[in-house]
Amino acid sequence: MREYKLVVLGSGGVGKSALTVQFVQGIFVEKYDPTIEDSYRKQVEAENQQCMLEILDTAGTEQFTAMRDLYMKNGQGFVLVYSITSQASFNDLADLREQILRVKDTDDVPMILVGNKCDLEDERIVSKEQGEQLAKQWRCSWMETSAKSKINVECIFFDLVRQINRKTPEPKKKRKKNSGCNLL
Amino acid sequence: MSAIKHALQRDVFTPIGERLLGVVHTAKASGKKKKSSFLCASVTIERPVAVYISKIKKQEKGESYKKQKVWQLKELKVVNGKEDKDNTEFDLQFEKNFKWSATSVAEKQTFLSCLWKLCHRYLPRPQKPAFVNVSQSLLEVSVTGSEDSRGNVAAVGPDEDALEDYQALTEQEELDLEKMISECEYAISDAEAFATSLSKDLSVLDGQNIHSIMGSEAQVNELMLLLDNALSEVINIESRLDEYDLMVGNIASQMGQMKNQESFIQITNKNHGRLLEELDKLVMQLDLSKGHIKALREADLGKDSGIEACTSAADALQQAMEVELPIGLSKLQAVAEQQKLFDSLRQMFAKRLHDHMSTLFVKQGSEHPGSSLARQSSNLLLPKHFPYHRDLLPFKDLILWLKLADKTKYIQLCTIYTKNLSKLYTQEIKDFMTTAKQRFIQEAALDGDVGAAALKASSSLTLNIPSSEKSPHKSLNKKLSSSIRNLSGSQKSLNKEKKKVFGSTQNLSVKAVGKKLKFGHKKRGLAGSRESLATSDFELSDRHKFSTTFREVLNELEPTCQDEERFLTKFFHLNVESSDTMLPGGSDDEEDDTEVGIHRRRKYQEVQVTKEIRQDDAIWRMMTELFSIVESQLTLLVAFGEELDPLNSLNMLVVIGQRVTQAQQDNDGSFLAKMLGNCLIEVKRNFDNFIKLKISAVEEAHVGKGKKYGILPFVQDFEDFVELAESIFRDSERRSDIDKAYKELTKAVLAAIDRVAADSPKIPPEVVKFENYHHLLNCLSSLKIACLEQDKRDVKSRYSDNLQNFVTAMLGRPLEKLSSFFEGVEQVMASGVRAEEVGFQLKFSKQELRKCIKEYSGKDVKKGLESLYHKIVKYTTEYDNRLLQVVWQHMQEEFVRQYKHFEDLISKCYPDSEIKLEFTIENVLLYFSSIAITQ
Repeated sequence: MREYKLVVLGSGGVGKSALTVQFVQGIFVEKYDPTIEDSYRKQVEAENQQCMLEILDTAGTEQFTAMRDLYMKNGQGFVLVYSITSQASFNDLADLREQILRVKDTDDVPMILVGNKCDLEDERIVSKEQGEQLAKQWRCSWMETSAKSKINVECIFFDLVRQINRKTPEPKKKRKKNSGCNLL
Repeated sequence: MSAIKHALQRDVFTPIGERLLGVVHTAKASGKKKKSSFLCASVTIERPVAVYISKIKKQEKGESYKKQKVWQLKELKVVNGKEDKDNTEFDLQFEKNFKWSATSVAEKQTFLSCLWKLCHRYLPRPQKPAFVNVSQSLLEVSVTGSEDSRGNVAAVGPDEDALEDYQALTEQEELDLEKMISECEYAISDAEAFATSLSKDLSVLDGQNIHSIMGSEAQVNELMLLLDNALSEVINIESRLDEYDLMVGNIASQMGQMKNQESFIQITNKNHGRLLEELDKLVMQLDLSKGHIKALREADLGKDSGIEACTSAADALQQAMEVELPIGLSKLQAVAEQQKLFDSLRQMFAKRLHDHMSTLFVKQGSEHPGSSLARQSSNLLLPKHFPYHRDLLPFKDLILWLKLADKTKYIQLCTIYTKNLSKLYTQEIKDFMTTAKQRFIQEAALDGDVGAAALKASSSLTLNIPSSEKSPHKSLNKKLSSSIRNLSGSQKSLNKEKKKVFGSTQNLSVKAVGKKLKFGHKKRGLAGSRESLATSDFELSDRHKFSTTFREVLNELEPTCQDEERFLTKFFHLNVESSDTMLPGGSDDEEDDTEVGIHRRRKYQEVQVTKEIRQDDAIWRMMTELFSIVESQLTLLVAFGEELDPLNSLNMLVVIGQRVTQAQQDNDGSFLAKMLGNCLIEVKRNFDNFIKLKISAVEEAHVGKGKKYGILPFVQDFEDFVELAESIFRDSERRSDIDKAYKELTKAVLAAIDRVAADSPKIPPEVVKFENYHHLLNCLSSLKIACLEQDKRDVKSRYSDNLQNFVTAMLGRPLEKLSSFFEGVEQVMASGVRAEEVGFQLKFSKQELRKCIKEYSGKDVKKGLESLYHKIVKYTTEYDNRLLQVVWQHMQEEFVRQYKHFEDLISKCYPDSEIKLEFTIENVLLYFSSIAITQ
């Protein structure tokens, strides 16, 4: 089974943990508790294959930014989360992305831009156009989600898996195994 | 009458510029009422003369008059005097005939004559109205009244035009005329003679006139001559005047020149003055007193007075150098020289300061706090840098000067400082950490010592240790404690020897001990989690000690870092950084992978959040260089703590978490806060790992064959862990982390209980389950963990289910035959047979029933129950007698339920048969309680 290392990034309080926990456990966590770092594992079927997703839910608060490089190095796909109710959280992502590209030393990193809290339409500050525009500029996918109302939560992770598959097709080892099975 | 006339003149005619000549008080002849009015004849004062006849009425009220109608004299066509005696009436015909009657004849006559005169005078003949029925005498009178004037007028020319040119004679002329006429008495009588005399006179006068004209010619000539003279005289004077003018003009131009010259002089004077002033200012600005120069050159930087002098001198120099000279002024040689002097002074002094400071720094850096270490070996204290800072702070103004004056030197100084001091700090912090670790081990060793002695009395470990007296664990424990004792002994002896060697060996030994400890833990873990939880049992207080020690470490580190940070800002004036170096955009392009780069980048991100952190860029760099050791040492310490006992992760998570949240709340961008943030992540990972390990340990747990199950070790372990974690995490900010861990752990434990129970070969799984669930339930209820409420309920239901299952399984059907008999009865009833008719079926006759009942006498039942009780006792562990009682109670209830069921059926199906079981409910209860009591 292939493993995918996904990293969820974004400013504090945009709902990274809420998204992750909603995806992994199907629960909406109402309470805000700044995350230090949490990792989750979940087995899913994506593109007709069993995959093991290892999701690293990171700290958004400023104090814990030092370890970023490390998990950026290890991560394969990145979820960049902002809150549609906060312009600052949206603006902060540019730096994060730059850091990812710098650490990865490539322009093509599987990445998805996510505007969370889209159930709070009344408090919207970041428009859909802005999000779309940024995604276009970065040439990555973009989605608006709501961990609370379960909108698009699974899609973002599946989309990332697809991106990773497209960028780095499954290593050959496994194929050999498959062919071996065929012979039998 | 004249009064009226006067009044009319005043009121009516004067305002319109006319003169009233005649007036007559009339009444209209026609009509019944005689309207009284005044008929007036008036003449305009101004030329051309116009004559009006107007009818004026007196207003009924008041004295004012009003013009009713106005005619021009020209319009008057006929005047009818109706000249009978004493007739006051007369007619005036204008466009039509108007009839009037005067108040008196005299008045009428005066008016008519007046009219006549006016007509005569002002109207040309053809327009003159006809005067009818007017007495000749009246007209005559008027003619004679104006005879003289008329005659005169006729003489000049009786032309119509003359009439218009007529000028009233002045009185003088009148007098002259009268005189002349009176002289010629004959004039009237003999006009011809008069004319002749007049012409004679005229010619005489003419002649005389010409004479006098002729006579005056000579005089005229004379006058002309005079005039000529005068002219030439005037020309003379004019030329004179011209001359004067010329002269005056010359003088004026000279005067102008003089004036110009004077203003030039004034300007020059002013300029001189200004120049002097400017020069004075320049000199003032560029002047540096000899004392200052001397101070800069040779003042002793080691003395306070020298520093002071240098500070003021440097300030003066800076001021002098900063003077903004007007463009071009720097070309002045003196200025250039002065500037050169300043420059050299600056360089010289900068170098001097630089050298001095760097020697100072090097000295401070190499100053090994040896003595302090000995002091600290028992107390966990970081040497205070206060004295160093105090020594350096007098230089802070000079450093500011240096920063402004010589940036490169300043930066060099910064690097030297960080390099040297970081050496010092590295040493100090290393020592400090070693001390801390030592402390940890000492505590652990204490555990060993005290543990060996005290554990005999203490709970769980003692149970195991005697049985495995020679087990590797025990011996290891002993070895450990002895080696630690040795270590502390050797530490003391080594303390007196070379410190560096001591540090390294100490480090080594500490590491070794740590490894041993870890090894011990692993062993213990392998030997079974029972032991590990035993340690956790008695280490509860030590854990507390660990966290206090750890807190102490942080407490020590914090002020040190903060003091240094504050000192750096103050000393190197990092907050007066010129803004260009830290524009956030600048650092973006040249991103590098080094630590500093990352920090800077991080800085940049934070700039958007808080402005305060903004200036920390430089300080960040310095702090990272100075305290490069801190992070690695902290990480080491964390790792060490973790090695010592994984449970320490919990403590550290709480302690560091507290700091970090505190820092977050204070919006503290300090270096240490960042460090701690990193550490916290590290600790969190350790914590996660620990939980993961625990979970996998639970998942893999199994019980050796032949052992009694009882409360499974991992359940006990879980209980201990939760208790401990609660004591650590209570009221902590990181509650959610431990909550998450609880949940996962609980899940694993529940699954493991089921799994282990299913594996159990001898004891029914239900026993294992309900015993463990019961234990878990007790534990959870006593701890009251909010997030585990759901799990608690789950455990409760599992517990009761399993208990029930066990009871039914164990008790089964103690009255087997009766049970099967009644089952048959129920089946028959279910197939439609009425209850009363059941007894008539052969199979279920009263006879059969009686047979069955006979088989179960009270004695038999009691025996059966006794053996059942034994079985239960065998299965269940002895740890909790109450649980046994509970089980027994359940058994009893179940038995009674069956008994009642039978009775019920008997009374239904076999009414009036008086069949009864051979023992009563009271008997049953008695059996149960007696069995319970006897055991």
